[in-house]
Amino acid sequence: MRKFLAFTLISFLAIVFFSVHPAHAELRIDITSGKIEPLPIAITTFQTDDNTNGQGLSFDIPQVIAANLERSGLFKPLNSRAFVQSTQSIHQEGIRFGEWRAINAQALVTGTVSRQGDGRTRVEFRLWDVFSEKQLTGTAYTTTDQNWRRIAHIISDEIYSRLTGEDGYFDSRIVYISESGPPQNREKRLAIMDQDGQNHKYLTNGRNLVLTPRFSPSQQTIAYMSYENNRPRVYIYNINTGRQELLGDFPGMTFAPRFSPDGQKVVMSMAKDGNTDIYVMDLRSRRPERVTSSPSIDTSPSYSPDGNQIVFESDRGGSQQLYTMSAGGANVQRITFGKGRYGNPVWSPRGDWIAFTRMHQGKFYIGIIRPDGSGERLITTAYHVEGPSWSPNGRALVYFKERPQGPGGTQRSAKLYTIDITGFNERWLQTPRDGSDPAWSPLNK
Amino acid sequence: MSRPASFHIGGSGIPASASMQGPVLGSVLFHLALVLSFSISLPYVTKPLPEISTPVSVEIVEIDELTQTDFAAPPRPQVKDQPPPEPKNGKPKPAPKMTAETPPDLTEPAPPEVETIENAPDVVPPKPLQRKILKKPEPPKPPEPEVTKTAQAKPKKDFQSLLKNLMPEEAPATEDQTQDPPPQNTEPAGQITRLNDRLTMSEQDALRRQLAQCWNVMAGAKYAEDLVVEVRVQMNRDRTVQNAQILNNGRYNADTHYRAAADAALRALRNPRCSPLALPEEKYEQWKTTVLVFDPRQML
Repeated sequence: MRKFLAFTLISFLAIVFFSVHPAHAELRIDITSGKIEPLPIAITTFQTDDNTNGQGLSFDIPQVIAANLERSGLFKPLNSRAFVQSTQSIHQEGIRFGEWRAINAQALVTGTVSRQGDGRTRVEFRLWDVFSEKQLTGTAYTTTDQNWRRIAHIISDEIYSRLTGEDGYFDSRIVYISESGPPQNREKRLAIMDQDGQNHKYLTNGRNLVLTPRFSPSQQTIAYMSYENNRPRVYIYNINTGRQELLGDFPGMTFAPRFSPDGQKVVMSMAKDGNTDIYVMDLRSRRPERVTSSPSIDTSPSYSPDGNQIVFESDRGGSQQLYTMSAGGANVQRITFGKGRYGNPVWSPRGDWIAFTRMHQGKFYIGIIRPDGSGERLITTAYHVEGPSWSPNGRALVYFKERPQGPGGTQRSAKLYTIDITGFNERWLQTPRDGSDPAWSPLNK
Repeated sequence: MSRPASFHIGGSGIPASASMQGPVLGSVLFHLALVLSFSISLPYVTKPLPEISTPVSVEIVEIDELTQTDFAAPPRPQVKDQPPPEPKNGKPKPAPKMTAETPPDLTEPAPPEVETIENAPDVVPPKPLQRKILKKPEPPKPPEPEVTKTAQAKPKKDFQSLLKNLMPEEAPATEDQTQDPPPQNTEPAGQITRLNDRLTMSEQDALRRQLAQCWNVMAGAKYAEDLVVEVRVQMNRDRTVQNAQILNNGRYNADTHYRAAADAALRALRNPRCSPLALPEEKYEQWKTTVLVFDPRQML
């Protein structure tokens, strides 16, 4: 009996003990606060044993890489005067990561430039994580000397891509309208340059007014509007051949052209009999197809990156707002409801945002909004700011700002700017003359 | 040697003596009482303890000590090369009007001054000839830089979003702003620890404040709000990180955005500015293995 009672008692105590004993669990802490700060990166001069053209490329390539990364706003290239370890020492003794940590570098770029037997140049780079002391990526390229800028841009893209997880955008170009002269007789020429402002060229001679250039996403072709014979119509320009071609002989005025993501179609507006609607022209068959047919003004169409949808502006609801619809014109949905007027929508190549211009209470804004109409943010403003165009990776925008100038504000000055979609890092993109209507190219192929 | 008397109740044919009725009754009553007490008390054993029995850690601290964690002002990149402010009262000029300003000329074949990069043989886009990941050379191990300064954030702004919005008050009605903020403290409920061993809220906040200075948020990444990175951190007693492991390894290898976000979280933990971590040494058993959840949702 005692044994039974003892057993019962022990069992009872065991049940009570185990039922209330806590299960051991790991401590979890949510880190919900961080910062947006450029990543400190050390970019060394490249090692070279080639003395045929001095040490030019071993200095120039890292400089272009550093300028690219710095301009993106996501990186802070460190001053080379702070470097403790020399390029020669890196290549002879290996990287002493502690010395790079000591100057607060989090990433390190090293490289070599060498001349090959066929006269071409071989450029090799490596990207290192200073904290983990691991190589993150490394590639070698062989090319002619004249091509060194592209090499620098491609290496910049690789570094950007590895550290941000996104494609880069440095190996790309920007086409824009170069402006000069008084307002009454403004000369507007189509011009093109690298995304960093280098290799600037004029494409047209300025005899005809040109507006709204747009890059083809798949080839070296630009669509734009030109006033030839006093008729504003859409033309296609081939950068390689310099050939300009009228896109369809429409009865009305055509404008606001944009390519489809596959480059096979151009969507644009046509004004006819007091009404403006959206049309799509297949570049192979050259047959236009009407997409909208409302009594309102429908214009500024832009394809989604998958080509299934189009965003456009329309005053069908009473005020000028943004709408989306299927590529065939069905399922029209309004996505903006704010005060003022919305225009110039452009779908991001990444697909997650639509950039636009908004006019409200006498001010212009550039903003972004999700394709479903959520998350609207206005990221820059000016007296007149307009014409956003996405970088090929959908991370940055280029646009132009205008402001009055001269006595009584009768003159005006137009400048190109870029900005990160976070709303920070707005930069002036320097051009030889005034610039407007910029359009960012896809990555070079 | 006397044998204890044995009693057989029922079945033996031997009647129980009248003197046994008392103890039997007592035994029956005792067993009944025992069953009754078990039936009342045992359900409470199986039930989870009422919440009131869980020790609640209450700490008397200054208000500002608790409220600065999530409001640490991130350093904002300065806008560079911006022109002087625009006139505020001037009426903006309309966009360029579509009126011809130049004489008609259909025969303009613009001279192609642009080099044809794709076609020119000398400017063919360079192809990577080789992509080789060489073995990392053995680096000499210099002494680690001594970093004794633990960064302390100074609250500068009163909102959490890191993103710029010039007119936040005019967000459209369709904007989804109903998302619940993630829980701050995900320590399992019901865990009972000795009161003095638990990490207090202000101790956790100190760690948050410190890591906020080292964690570079991928704010502009595609759907950055989905890039929540969980890192299991094993720590040394001296509050340095012994080992940090990304929990979602599959996504790390498959998703480049996530990989970059995870690398950023690891860089935060390895940043000399955040070493040693701001943790109370005497509670090592509590934090020696910790899961840190780098969650950017509140900042976007």
